[in-house]
Amino acid sequence: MSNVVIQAQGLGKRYRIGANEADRASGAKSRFMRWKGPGHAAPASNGHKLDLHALTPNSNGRGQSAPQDSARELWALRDVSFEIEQSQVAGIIGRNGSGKSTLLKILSQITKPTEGKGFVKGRVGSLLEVGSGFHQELTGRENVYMNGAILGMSRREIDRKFEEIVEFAEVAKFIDTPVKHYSSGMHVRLGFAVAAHIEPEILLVDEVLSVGDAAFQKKCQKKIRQISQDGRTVLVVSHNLVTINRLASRALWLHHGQLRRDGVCEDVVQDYLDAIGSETMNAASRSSEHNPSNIDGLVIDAHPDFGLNINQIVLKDGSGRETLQFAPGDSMTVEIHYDAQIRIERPYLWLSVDGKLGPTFGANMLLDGHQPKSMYGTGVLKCTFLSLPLLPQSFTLRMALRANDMKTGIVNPQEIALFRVRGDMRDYGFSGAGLQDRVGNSVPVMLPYVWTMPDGTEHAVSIQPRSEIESM
Amino acid sequence: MQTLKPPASLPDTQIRHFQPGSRLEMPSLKPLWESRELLYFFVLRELKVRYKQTIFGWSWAILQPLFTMIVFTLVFSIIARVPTGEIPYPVFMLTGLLLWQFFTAAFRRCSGSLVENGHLIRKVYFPRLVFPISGNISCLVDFIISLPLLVVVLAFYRVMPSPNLVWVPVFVLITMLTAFGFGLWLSALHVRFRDVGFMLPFLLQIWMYATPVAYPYELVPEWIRPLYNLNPMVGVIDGMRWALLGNSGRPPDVWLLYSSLVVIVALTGGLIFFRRMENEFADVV
Repeated sequence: MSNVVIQAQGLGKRYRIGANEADRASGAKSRFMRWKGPGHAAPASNGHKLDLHALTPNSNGRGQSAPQDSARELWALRDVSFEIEQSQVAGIIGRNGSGKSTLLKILSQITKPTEGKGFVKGRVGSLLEVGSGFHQELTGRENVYMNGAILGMSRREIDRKFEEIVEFAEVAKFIDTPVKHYSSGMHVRLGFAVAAHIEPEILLVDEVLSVGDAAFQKKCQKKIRQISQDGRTVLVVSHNLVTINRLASRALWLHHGQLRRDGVCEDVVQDYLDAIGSETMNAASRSSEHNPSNIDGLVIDAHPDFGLNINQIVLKDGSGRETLQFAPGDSMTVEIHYDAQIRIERPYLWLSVDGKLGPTFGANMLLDGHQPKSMYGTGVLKCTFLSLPLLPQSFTLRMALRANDMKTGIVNPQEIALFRVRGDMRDYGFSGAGLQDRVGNSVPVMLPYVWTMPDGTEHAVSIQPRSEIESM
Repeated sequence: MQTLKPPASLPDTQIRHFQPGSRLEMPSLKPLWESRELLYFFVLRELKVRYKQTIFGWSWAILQPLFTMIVFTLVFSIIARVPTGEIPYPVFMLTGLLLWQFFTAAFRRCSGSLVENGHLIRKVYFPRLVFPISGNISCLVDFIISLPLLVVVLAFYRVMPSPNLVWVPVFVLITMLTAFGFGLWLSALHVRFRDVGFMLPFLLQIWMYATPVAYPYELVPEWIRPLYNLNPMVGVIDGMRWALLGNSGRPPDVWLLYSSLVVIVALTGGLIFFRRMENEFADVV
């Protein structure tokens, strides 16, 4: 007996979109028929990120190249096949509107596929929306029971876990207060606490990691990791590639509703980064939602006492373009967009660029002695590495922020971004016989050096853009 | 924290298949049975929430029919002088009204249940029938609460209930099924066409005038009765009167069988229609 717990064969999901031109042309009947389309009904739904929202033909190029049978139809998902075995943790990555949420909806039986089939084996718990079943007028206690039942728990099960849930959510004092008096943080915590205690064999997670405060997000991640360690199967949808990389061993990359790649997480994430990198070259401006260097959903965990929020990490290349892809020798600017509610005096920032083999180089205010006088309100702290002496490989950027006492970690060392160095080393004068095979596995840092041969000839090697070498 | 051991090998009964929905089939009862606890919680929620932030709270279940009875008595008895035989008009009125109000409430709750719970339908899966069923049951509770009003009014007018009383549950059941059967159609349609929400008050108003709530059946012209009896609530309301008062309304006769048939057709069709539309609730709601 195989231990495949999720199987999908040729899954497809079609949505109908109201086509305005056709309606204008014909009579009242077709105008009436247009109401049938989900494209009309869906936008009224209060802000839920249904894939459809991104699917209107003009939004961010998503609809244009999607396989369409006619102007009124759109395949949010097409011909997707895969199998997931028990206790695998798989990440689903892809742009907004690439079909990620639709896939999870089919797996959790919220919606039916238009074509294809498959099965899910075992109890499915979904963290599609934390606290979605809460009724404002009911108390926390009533809502725990209600929500638990909605998510598939029996009353006895909830009885048994009730204390644990309340403790996890840290709302014991308010458990008999109507939820409408809860703060949004309490609301989210209680919702997650219920969902996290379903103990399903298969857990589906959709972007939960991007709600709530940093401490809560960390709790989410910890819980998910624990669930996966228990041998349960987890499917995570997230924009946060760092998180996906950390949690998942396998990744499925959906692109315009089709499965573009399926394989070892790191590889798929790298390919994905390559692709969004090259797309950025073509598109001058994008909405922040599609901004490739802003890894949304990224959790940067800061010490709660300092009231510091890191809103965004932006990477820019030498020409000032936001990207996650750099040419060897290019400059890289790391921008840390922060919001400090409490004034932080003279903190120390530390950045580290890590390759596959470990740390390569960094920037450290504890060593160089330069510090911001203070961080207060919203602001940006930048660091530019003037020339990346790196071979075409993938790298992780880590940061840490220490208080003026040099000990207290305001932000403890953690991953804040993934980026890729890409380029053909032959353009830099490299021509070794082992170049193609080894460039991806070598120690990535290459400082300029000069060979002096026995006959006295000298050869300078340097990762500098070709034009600079020629002018030297 | 408690941890779950990895399931060694899951029994095949735990497999849930997904595939494109088929067109015509009845909803399966097994998942519905498995969701009975959820049903209980939904009914409980409806009841707890219904009278939140009201001054009179549960009393509304009694005040509503009481006020309606007073108004109808003024209009139909004092002004229009509708003849109700030896039964005082308020008694005549109330015996029909309580059941009718139960029907209206259940029908309305059923019809709106999917749209009101749209946020849940988009995010979690469980048998969708739970929504209309829980709406229906919660209204039954209100109906039961309103029954003491009937006792008081009967006592006030010194009317003795008849031994036909044992028939009351039958009429209540038919009422529930009628509200459920027709409510299913409208709940599924409501998801697609919000027009249903606007149409419903008129529909119910017309339906009430086509039902002998405020006037006796005898006033209806003979020739139109076959059509009139297509309305399942006609036999039910009259039957309820007969069951309670003995000398008013009509005993269960062939017409009741006729309306029961209408209910069965509406209910079966409603279930199939609901099942078919169920596939797209999450996409459209």
